[in-house]
Amino acid sequence: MAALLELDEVRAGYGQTSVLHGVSMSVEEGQIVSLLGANGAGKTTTLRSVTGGVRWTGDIRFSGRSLKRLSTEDVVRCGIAHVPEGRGILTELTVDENLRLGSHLRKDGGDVRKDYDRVFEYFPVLRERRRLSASTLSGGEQQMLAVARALLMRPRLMLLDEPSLGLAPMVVRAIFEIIRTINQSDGVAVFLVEQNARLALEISSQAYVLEVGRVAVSGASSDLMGKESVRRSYLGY
Amino acid sequence: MLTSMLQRIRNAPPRYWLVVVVALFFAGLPTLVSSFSAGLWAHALIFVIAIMGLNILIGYSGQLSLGHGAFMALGAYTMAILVRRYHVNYLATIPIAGLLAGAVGFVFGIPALRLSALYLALATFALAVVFPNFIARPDQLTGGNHGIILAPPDPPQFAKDAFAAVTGAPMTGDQWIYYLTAGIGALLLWLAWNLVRHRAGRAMRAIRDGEVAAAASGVNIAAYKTLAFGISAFYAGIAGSLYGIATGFVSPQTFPVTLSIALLVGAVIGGLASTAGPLLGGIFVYYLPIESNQWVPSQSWIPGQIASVVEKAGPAVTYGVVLILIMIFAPNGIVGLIIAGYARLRRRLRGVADRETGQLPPASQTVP
Amino acid sequence: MQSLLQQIISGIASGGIFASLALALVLIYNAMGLVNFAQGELAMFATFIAFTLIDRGLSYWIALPVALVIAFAGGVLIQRVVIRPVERAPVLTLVIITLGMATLVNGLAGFIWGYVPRSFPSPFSARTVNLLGAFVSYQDMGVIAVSAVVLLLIYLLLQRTTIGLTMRAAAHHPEAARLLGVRVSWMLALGWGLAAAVGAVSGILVAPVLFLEPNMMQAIIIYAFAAAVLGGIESPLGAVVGGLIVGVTVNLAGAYLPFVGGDLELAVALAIIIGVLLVRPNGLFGRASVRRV
Repeated sequence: MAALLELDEVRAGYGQTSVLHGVSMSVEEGQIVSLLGANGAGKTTTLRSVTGGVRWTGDIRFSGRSLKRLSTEDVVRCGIAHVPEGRGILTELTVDENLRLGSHLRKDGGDVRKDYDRVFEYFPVLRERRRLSASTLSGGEQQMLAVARALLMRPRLMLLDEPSLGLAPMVVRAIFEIIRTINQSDGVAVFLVEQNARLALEISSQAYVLEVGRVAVSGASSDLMGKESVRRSYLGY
Repeated sequence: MLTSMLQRIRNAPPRYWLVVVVALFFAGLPTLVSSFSAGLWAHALIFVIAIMGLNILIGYSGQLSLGHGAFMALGAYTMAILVRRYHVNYLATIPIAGLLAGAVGFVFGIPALRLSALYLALATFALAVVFPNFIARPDQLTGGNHGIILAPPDPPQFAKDAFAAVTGAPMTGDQWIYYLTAGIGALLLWLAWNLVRHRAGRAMRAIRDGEVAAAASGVNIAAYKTLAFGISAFYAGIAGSLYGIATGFVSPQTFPVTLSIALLVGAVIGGLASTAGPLLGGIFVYYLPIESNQWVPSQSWIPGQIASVVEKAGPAVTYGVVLILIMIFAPNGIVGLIIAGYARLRRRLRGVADRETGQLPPASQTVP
Repeated sequence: MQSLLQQIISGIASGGIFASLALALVLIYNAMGLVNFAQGELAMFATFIAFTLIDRGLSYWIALPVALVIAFAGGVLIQRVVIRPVERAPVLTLVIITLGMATLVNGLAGFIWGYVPRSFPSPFSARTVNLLGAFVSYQDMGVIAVSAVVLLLIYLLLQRTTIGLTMRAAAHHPEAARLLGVRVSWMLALGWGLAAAVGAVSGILVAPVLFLEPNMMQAIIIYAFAAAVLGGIESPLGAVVGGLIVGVTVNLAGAYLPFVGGDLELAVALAIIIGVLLVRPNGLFGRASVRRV
């Protein structure tokens, strides 16, 4: 059976610079997969290829369907939520409006309300600041908003780019807990790019390590965690 | 002495020969066309002069003005008032008009420093719309809405005789204005070219390409930008005074906002930040309305219905359509097209093959 | 005192007209960072279309919405055909394209309808009513009412509906909006359509006063610029407030300042523009920071 997301010999780059030199990965339905590697290895570029933020060659398939000629918004409408590096918060709008943009494509009114309740349960601060401009949120709160918004999209696959970046450890732990919850209860697959390799390996079942645009190591997260050589060379601990 | 001169001529790049040919063309033009046509060419060259000034402002110092028609009006009225009321010789009024307009432009350039490009465009556009009303107000001085009428100048005797010696007929008033305009234009062109090549030009280009970097390199941004404004207004003022001399008439209606727009369009279509651009742009912008009215109906291969529609729709429609098309397909103007075409031709002739790089096409988005 | 009140109410009526056109400018500025110099000419064209409909027998209150719908469609078409190919071009190129459009539309209107000024029917009678001792015309009150309704509808559309939300998202944060499934390009087209329709309102409201001819809006757009700049070119609310202030100020200046005759009222607008740009370029409601992610 085809995986939910398949990257097939993908090359991608910016202008004259090539960043990915032929990577192949896959994410199964309901799986959490982490993508690790040093800065500049190409992790963000990989996620951006999926949602069309960068030109790529090769093939990327979602549910068997090639994403080759789709615009970003059409890729997203297939059921992929992408929380980019920098979070993509629309600071001109309020918190509530940001959330509504998460759910605006859905037609299942009752379930949307239930999801809102859930989201406010996970992130009570968002309910408090509903009517305020999103620019008034702190970094951690903006990350919560970004994840909440992605949740409201009820995606089949969530792409998360460095969710722990610049956040206090407690906040990071909370967010990762929520990721684990929605994965288990809603079956949302997660493709996670993380600098914090330990956290990523703890939550994911599969991992790829990128090095200079190529997949250097891949396998079950538990295996990678266990192998000291891998941890030392690639993961920095 | 002679051999070194001959050597320099032989080593001169082809561009210099082009300049010589063009200069000869313009020098001899009145001998080839009717006197009336020479008069039209004079008007076109007046546009060219104003556009040269605008080019310095936009192409080289990166500031936008939709109001240079107002500076032309200032120059024209200065000339007209000096000639009419104070009986100054019209030739002397030309540099005075230029300097006055230039001074006003310089002063205008000071507050302009604080405005972003878009706001500057907006403010100058508003200025251009309102200026005719300003001019009409002090009607004792400016003749109000009726304007000022002037007698067209007679060519000086030496010019008449010289022209007669060459062509057999004495120089007409139109031809004299043509030579006056062309001569002043050539002088101003040389001035602009030197300006651009030397320190002032480099400083301005640095400003245009990135103010922060330029400031960091020690360029006095404020000084150069206001200087650019003043110089461009100077050119417009001279063009305006010549315009008044050529038409023999100045009134608030002769300088509507559409004139300012036409100048901007000419600068862009010709090609910004190029020396030849204003020449091509000015001629294009001046002749397009005239030609679209006359040339199209006279072409037998264009079906009658289309021709009559174009003729009746008038210059404005053709003008607008051509403008939009050029902006979409050739935003670097005619000069840009020529340079690109020339570059492609040279590559073909030299047989340079594209390197197989295996690189991906450029990204459609930049990094957030 | 009465005449002051009359002038103020008259100024508010003009203000409603300026506010509508200014709002159109703000909508496009928010979407593209661009001042649409052709907005006035597009409004004039739509007004001519309304005129033609009324001439053919349609009642004013039917011709008005029909003309607005046609204006909307025209705006969408222009964005798709002319603007989209050059979306990423530098601001100067886009400014020139709008100037080209202005010339084109003006010439087209002259070609189709000629340059003879026509009288445009108004559904409001010219009679006056006594309000607090001042004589206020039904015409002015009608203009105020219609502008207010239109502006309110736009406000509700942008702030209270989902499509308004996606339009605002597309305008301010196109990249982030794409990642949320917003069809940014179409939202921009809608923005142009909306701007064209709102601008058309200002043309249709002013035509009975000024007489309809191709150059009718050339002064109005200057007032609209002043209103938009005063209110803050990014702020729809600013456009409305700015419009009212400009309308009242210009009217009062024309009535009470001896050296400002009818012809120099426009100069007051110029003074407002230059004054605001020098003292507080962001206007009353504009934000200091500039955005776009």
